[in-house]
Amino acid sequence: MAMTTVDQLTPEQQEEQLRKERSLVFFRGLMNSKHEGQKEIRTSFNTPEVQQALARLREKNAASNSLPD
Amino acid sequence: MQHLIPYQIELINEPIVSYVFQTDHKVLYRVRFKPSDYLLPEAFWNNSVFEIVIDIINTPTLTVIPADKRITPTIIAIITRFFAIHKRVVLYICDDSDSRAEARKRKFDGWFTRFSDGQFVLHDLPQPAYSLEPYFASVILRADNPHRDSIIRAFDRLALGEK
Repeated sequence: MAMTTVDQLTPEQQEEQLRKERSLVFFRGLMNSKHEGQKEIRTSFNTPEVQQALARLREKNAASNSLPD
Repeated sequence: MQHLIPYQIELINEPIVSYVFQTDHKVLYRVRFKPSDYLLPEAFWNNSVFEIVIDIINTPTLTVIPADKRITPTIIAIITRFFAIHKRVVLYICDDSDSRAEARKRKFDGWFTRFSDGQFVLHDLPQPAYSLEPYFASVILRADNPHRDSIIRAFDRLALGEK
């Protein structure tokens, strides 16, 4: 007697399966990219560009704090 | 209304656009716009698609970061500056590593709507079907972007896994 296996999907079912997989790959890729971005932010703290920006920010903050209310 | 005034922001001079600001509690934040052309590979969108990454880079003395209502207006001020080039599209992705993505997303949406004053559209991407993990991602673009509908359709297709 012939058996039906799970991989005997109709073309529509196969397409639906592929859509689900592509969707998951997309969202997982976004999440990985976000985590990479956070890691890059944390590890690039000591670059001259960041330190220069922080120095300018400190100057701005000091100037705004010294303004009269 | 002091608590609604954005903090001072500063641009970091590097190829990837990013900004820093410091809160009253001396917590340093960095907001970075990561180029993401790979998402919409058509040449028309080159240099237009970015992922926004917001992270704390320094908390001098704190173990718990206090709630701070000036952070959202500051982030909106940064987004407003970034969108001076109005074709740009920004993806906001909520992290669920602590299982609080949905609450975080709701909070962000509420604040975003309140502070962005109709300048921007925040479009939530459809959730992936049958995924055990929740994913919350939104597309942010200028309300007057002439390609608004086609961008939203393109991202919806990606989220739904359509070709």
